[in-house]
Amino acid sequence: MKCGLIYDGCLSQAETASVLPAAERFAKGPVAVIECIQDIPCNPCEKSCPHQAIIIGDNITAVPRLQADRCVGCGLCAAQCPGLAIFIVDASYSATEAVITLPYEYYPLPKEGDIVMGVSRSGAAVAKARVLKVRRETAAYGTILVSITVPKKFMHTIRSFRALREADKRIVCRCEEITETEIRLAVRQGANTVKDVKLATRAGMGACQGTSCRREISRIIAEETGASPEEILPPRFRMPVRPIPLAQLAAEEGKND
Amino acid sequence: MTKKEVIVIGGGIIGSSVAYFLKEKGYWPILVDKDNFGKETSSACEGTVIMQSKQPGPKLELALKSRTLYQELSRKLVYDIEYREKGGLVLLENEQQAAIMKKTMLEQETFGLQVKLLTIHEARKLEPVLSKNLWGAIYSDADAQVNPIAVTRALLQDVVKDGGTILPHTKVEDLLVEQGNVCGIKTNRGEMRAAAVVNAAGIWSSSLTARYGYEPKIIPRRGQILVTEAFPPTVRHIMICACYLAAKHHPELLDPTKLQHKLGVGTVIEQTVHGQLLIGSTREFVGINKETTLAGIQEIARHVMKLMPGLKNINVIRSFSGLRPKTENGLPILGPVKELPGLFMATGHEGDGIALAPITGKILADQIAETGILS
Repeated sequence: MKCGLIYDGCLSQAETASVLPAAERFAKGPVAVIECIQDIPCNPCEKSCPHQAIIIGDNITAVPRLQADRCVGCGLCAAQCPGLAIFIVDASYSATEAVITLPYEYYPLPKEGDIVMGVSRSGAAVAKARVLKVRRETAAYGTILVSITVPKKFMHTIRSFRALREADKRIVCRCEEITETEIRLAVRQGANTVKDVKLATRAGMGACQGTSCRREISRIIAEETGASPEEILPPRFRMPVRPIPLAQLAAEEGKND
Repeated sequence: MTKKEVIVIGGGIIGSSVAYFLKEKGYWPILVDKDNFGKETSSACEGTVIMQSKQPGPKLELALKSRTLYQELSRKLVYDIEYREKGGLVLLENEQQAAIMKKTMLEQETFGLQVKLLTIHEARKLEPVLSKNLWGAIYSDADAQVNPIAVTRALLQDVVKDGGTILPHTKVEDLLVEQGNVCGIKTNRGEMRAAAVVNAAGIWSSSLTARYGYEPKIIPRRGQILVTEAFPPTVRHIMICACYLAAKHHPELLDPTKLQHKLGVGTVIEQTVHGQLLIGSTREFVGINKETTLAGIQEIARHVMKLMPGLKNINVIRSFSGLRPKTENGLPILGPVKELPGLFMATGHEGDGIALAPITGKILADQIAETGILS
């Protein structure tokens, strides 16, 4: 299966890897991620950078190169890029969250503090995000730059956001508070049994051990994969059937098989 | 220079770690698994990274290096692997256990592992759930825990982010051998070629090479584990009883007529980041059988009640079991196979796979680089 910019319009994982600055640079603070890999005649990013961190050179069809040690993550290039291909990623925001700053060209604009759904390059829901800042970049024709905080593990995955929908709020696994959207995402990433979903999301690992959610999870897997619910492998049932205090389990007369 | 591809068979925590360190060394790893990743032993175990349980010798040396790598990984990986340096206690029930462990302590110290003998009074100050009837405990601040499922997923995510390939539902049917050299694999999806092949297939790893005259003895050893309901942080340390260590290192000292020792039950307990307790475990030879048994889970409950009566009202919500790949001498099999150039083994970690995963990945990547396959 072919994937990549020229096949499906999104950077493949290998293509993404080729444009990411080094992990050490991410740790230091905000830095531009220039997801531009096609030889097109375009160079506003080079001109926009006050720190000369982006180089295209005399050949206008060359792809931009970032000198990551010069970049301060100001975001001017992100506001200038006509292809909306530049993002500012700040991995130093907190221990668990990163900030992604991205150009946003839709109305209505989000408000600071809004909870939104972070989506991937192809528009698939990934994880909830919080709007940190909405700024109008006057130096770049008033482009709107929105900063969102996302779980750190998704800082190279989330590249835009949308408003929350019903499925984003609907909790399927009540013990671990896992939403329908999270389960659908896991299935789209290859989980096709209830156990796969459990390992990917923790759905069914809580106090009720899937008693209330496993059928719903099977149904979602069936819907996503086109299989019938009976074909979806159920999770393995294990002792005890009901929660039992440790002391009682220890005292109970059992057979010594 | 184009990067060389290396195939890794088995997408558990060991295979994922090998793929990660290969990627760090500049290879393109291709990780294949017969099912989805981390679905067998790596998700059916506890997450303890205990130094005190390792026999002083090569295993302890590896474990200490692995711990340093875990510290680096937990800083570097964007995914939270839930690595926590909680410190650990080895629980001593009587003077006889203390005498055996004192000898071990001296050896551990020569490897640079700092351990401290506590009276039961001192130990109960650290861990109030402990029984007053115990003899004492040995404390080390080097013991830690991780979430093995999270580690596997975090390593895979990083491999994929940097351009590596992971192929679930790809069953390896045979090795591709040309003029005596291993140059790839035959799978249900067709042939794949690579500069080297790493076999990290856990309890299944010896069956692949048997037809080529190399069949290391790897025996599945079942460990049953209890999961409790989640509750606020109470069990502050990773705890392990001395009889677990005895079962591991000195099985001859145990009374084989007792049910506890017949099932190899020794307590290992940790409270996960999510608040649930994982209480292990049995150590049984029952072939490829992942059932949990009433006798097994009751023996675990009985033993933990003896050690920690303070937990008596905590509810058990599940039991599970996993199969640990045990080798004859108890040491993992790491490195090139003499009979089959191009093939490397990373298997046979038994119950130490989680603790030793990072160092295993690093050693394998270093060994493959040394053979000059990269050039």
